[in-house]
Amino acid sequence: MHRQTARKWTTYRLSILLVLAVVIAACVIACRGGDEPTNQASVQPRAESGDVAAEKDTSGRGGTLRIAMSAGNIPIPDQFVTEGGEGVRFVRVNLYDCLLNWDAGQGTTPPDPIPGLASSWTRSADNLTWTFTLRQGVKFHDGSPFNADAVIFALDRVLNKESEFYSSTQRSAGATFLGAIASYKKIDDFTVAITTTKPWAFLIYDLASIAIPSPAAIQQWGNKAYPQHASGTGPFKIVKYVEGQVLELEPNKDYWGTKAKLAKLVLYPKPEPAARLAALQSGEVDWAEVIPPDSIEQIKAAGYNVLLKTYPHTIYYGFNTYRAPFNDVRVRQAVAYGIDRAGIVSIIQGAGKPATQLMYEGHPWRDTTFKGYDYNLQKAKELLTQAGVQNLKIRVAYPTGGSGNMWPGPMNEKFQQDMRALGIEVDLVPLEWNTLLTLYRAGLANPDYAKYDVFWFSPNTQAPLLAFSSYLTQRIPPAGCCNATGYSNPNADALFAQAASEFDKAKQDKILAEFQGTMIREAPITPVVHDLNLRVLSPKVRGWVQPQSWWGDFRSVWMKD
Amino acid sequence: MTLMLLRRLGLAIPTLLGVSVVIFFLMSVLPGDPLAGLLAQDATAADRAALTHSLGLDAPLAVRYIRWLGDVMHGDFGYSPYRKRDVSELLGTAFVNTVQLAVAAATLGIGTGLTLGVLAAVLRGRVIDRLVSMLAMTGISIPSYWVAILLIIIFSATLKWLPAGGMHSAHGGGFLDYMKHVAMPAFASAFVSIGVTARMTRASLLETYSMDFVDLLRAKGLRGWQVLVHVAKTAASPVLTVAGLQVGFLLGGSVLVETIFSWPGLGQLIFQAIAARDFKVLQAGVLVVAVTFVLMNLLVDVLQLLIDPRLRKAA
Repeated sequence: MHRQTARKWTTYRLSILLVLAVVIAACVIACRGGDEPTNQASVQPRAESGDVAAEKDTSGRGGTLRIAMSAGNIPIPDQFVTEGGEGVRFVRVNLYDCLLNWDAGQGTTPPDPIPGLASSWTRSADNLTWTFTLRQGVKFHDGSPFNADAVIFALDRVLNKESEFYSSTQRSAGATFLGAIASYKKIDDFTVAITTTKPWAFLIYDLASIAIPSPAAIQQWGNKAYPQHASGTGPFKIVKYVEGQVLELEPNKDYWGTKAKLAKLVLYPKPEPAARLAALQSGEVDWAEVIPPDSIEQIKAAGYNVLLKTYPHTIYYGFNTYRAPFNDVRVRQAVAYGIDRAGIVSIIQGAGKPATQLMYEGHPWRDTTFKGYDYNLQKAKELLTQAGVQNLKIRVAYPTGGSGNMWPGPMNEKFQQDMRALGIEVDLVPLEWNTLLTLYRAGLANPDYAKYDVFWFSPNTQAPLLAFSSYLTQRIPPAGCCNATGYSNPNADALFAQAASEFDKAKQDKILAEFQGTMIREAPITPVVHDLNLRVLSPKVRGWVQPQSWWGDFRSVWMKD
Repeated sequence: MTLMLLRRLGLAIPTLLGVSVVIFFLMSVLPGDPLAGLLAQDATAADRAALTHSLGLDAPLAVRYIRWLGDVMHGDFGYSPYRKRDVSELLGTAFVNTVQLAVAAATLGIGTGLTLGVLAAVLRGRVIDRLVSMLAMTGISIPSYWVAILLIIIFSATLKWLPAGGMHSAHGGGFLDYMKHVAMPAFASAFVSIGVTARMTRASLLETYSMDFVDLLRAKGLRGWQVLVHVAKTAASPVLTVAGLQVGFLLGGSVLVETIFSWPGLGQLIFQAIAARDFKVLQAGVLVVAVTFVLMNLLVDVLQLLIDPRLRKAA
C-alpha cells in the first residue's frame, strides 16, 4: 500500500515537473523576441543602416514583393487614403499621382515636391495665382484620359459643395492641404489655374498631397463604392482588393514616367509586431515594417537587411502651458534637460536617435544656432530651484500603442525614472490613441483634458504645415487646431507667416529653421527621440532606397530569385 | 417543447434590446471623439459641423438610437465612414470568417476535450488521468494570446511549417493553403475549450459513474464500454451546456487571436470599431454576437431536451 502511494506520488511529481519543463521551455522560446523592448541601458544609438549593395542593385526586374504592414487594415484607396502615413507609403504613392509628386526615390536629402501630373507651373506677379501645365497622353488605370477636367473634378470633390460628387469625409480627411485654395479654373484642356487666399509658398506641399482620382470611376461607382474600384494614374494599379485581408497591385504598363520593375506588389495588414517578424522569418513576406526592436541583432545575423534612417518623425512631450507648473518656461526647460534621451534610445535597442530639436541633424529646418536640450541634470535642478518648484507631481498622458508611436510603454517608464531623479513624481496615464488624438485636437485648456500636465505625441513633420502649424497662436483650440499646449509667441507667428510667403526655397528653409529654434528654446514641447523608421527586408528585395521620408518610390524595386 | 421554444425566443427580444441600449449609451460616454480619425489636423469648425451632420451625429442620443433601431428593423445597418462600406457587408464577411475559425476551433477544442475527459474518467487515478487534469488546468490558465505568439514563434518563425497569419497566401489558394492558415489560430482559440471541456466531461462522467444505476448495469453483466454509453447519455447534459457556451464564445470572435493572426473576423472588426469609435459597426457587431449567443443557448436547450427525457418531462 505504502509502495503504491509512493509510486503515485512519484508519478505525480514527475508529471508536474514535465508540465513545468514544457512551460519554461515555451517561455524561453517565446521570450526570445517580445513585442516590447527590454530595459537594457547598454545599447548605444545605432548608426543608420541598410545594405547599400541591395539599394544600388539595378541589375534585374520582376518578382512579387509581399509586405507586412503594421496597419490593422488595408488602407482604403480613396482620394485621401486611410491608415495615416502607412496608407500614403504603400497605397497613395503607388496608385495615384498628384499635380506634384515627391522626390522620394533618393535617400540623401529630405524629399521635395517635384513635377507630377503638372509638368511645369508659373506664378502671377502678385504670387496669388499659379498656372499649371498638365502632362498630355496620361491615362487613368480605367483607361479614361487625364486632363484639366480631371483636376477640376478632383478639387470639386473636396472643395465645391455644389458638386454632385462632393464628399464631406474626403474634404475632412484632406482639410490640411485645402485651406489655402481660394479658387481654381480650367484654362484649356491641359492648363489649370489655382488661386490662393494669400501668397502661399507652401502650395507645392499641399498639392503634393492631393491625389487625382479618375472622374469616370467616381461617376460610375459613386463616392461610396469608389474605393472598391479605385483608379488613379500612378505607377501601380489594383488587381485584387479584399477588405481587411490583402491588396494586390500590378505595374501600370502605360505609366507616363519610369515604369515599375516588380511584377506584383502584395500588401498585408499585420498589426502584431511578433507576427510580422515571424511572417518574414518564415518566408511568408519579404518586407516587414517595425519589428520588435529586441529582434534587430537576431534578424541581422540571419542575413536580413535591417534599414534604419532618420526621417521627419519625432516623438515629443507637449506641456500644458495654460497653468502651473508648466506655464513657467524654466520648469519646461528643466524637464527638457532632465530627460536621458540616450537612455530611452537604449531601451528601444537603438531604433531611434536622441532628439534635441524637432528636426534631426542635417535637416534644412533644424536651427543650427541652437544645440537644443542635452541631458544635464545639474542644469535641470538649477532651473527648478530658480522657478521655486518643489515636490512636483505631474500627470502624463501617453498612447497605449498605435502605428507610428514607437514603444510608448517602456519609453515612458524611463521618462518616469528620469523625472524621479529630478524630484518630480510622474503619474503615467495610458490612453487609447483615439482619446489622445482627441486631447490633441481639443487642447489642454479643454475641461476634459486640463488635468494632464504633459502628453506624448508623434507628428509627421514632412511638410511645413504638418511640422509647425501646431505652435501658432491662431491654431489654439477651439478656434483652431491643433496647438494643444496653448503656446503663443508673436515672433514665432510672424516667422511662420514670413516663411509661408517666401518663394525662394533656401530662404524659406532658413526662416523655418529660425521658427523652430524660436519655438524650441521656449519649449512648449520637448522632443525626445527621432524615429529611425525601422523596417526589415529579405535579401531578395533589391533596389529599394530608404528615403528621409514617410513614403518612398517602389518603381525601382525588384526581387532577386 | 414548441411552447418552450417560443417562450425562449420571446425572452431573447428584450435581452437583445437591452444589449443594444447598453452598448449605445456606453459608447457615448467613452472618452474620445468619433470624428478624430476622420478629420485632418487642419479641419475647420465648419468641416467638423458638416461631417457631424452628414453622419447624423448632431441629433440627440435618444433620437439617434431610435433611428438606428428603426433602420435595423428594416434590415439596414448603415454605412461605415471609416471603412467606406455598408456595415452589413462588413459584418457578413467578418462573420463568415469567424464562423470558419469557430468551427475549426470548436471541432478541435470540444473534440479533444471530450476525448481527454472520457479517457481521464475511465482511467481514473492513473497517470493519464493526472496528465489530462494538468493539461486541462494549463489550458484554462494560459491566455490564448500567449499560446498564439508561442505557436507563431515555434511553427512559423522557427520551423517555418505554417504561415504566421492571414487566410490565404499570395501565390496560394486551395484547401491545403487554407488549412495551413487556419491551423494555428484554431488551436490558439481551442486551447481553453480543450481544458474546460475535458474537466467538465471528466467530472460529469465520474459523478454519473457513482450513481446506483451504474452498479445495476454492471451487475447485469454489461461490459465497460456498454456501461460508458449509458453513463455518457446521463452525463451529457452539463457537458453540452459548457460546449454550447464555448461555441458561443468562439462565434463571438476572439479579438486577441484574430488580431495576432490577422484573421479578418468579427472580433477584429469590433475591436477596430471601438478604437475608431465607429458606432454603427460596433452596434451591429455586438448585436450579431448577442444574437449568436442567444441562438446558441437555445440550440443547447433543444439538444438537451432531445437527449434527456427527464428534462423533456420537466419542460
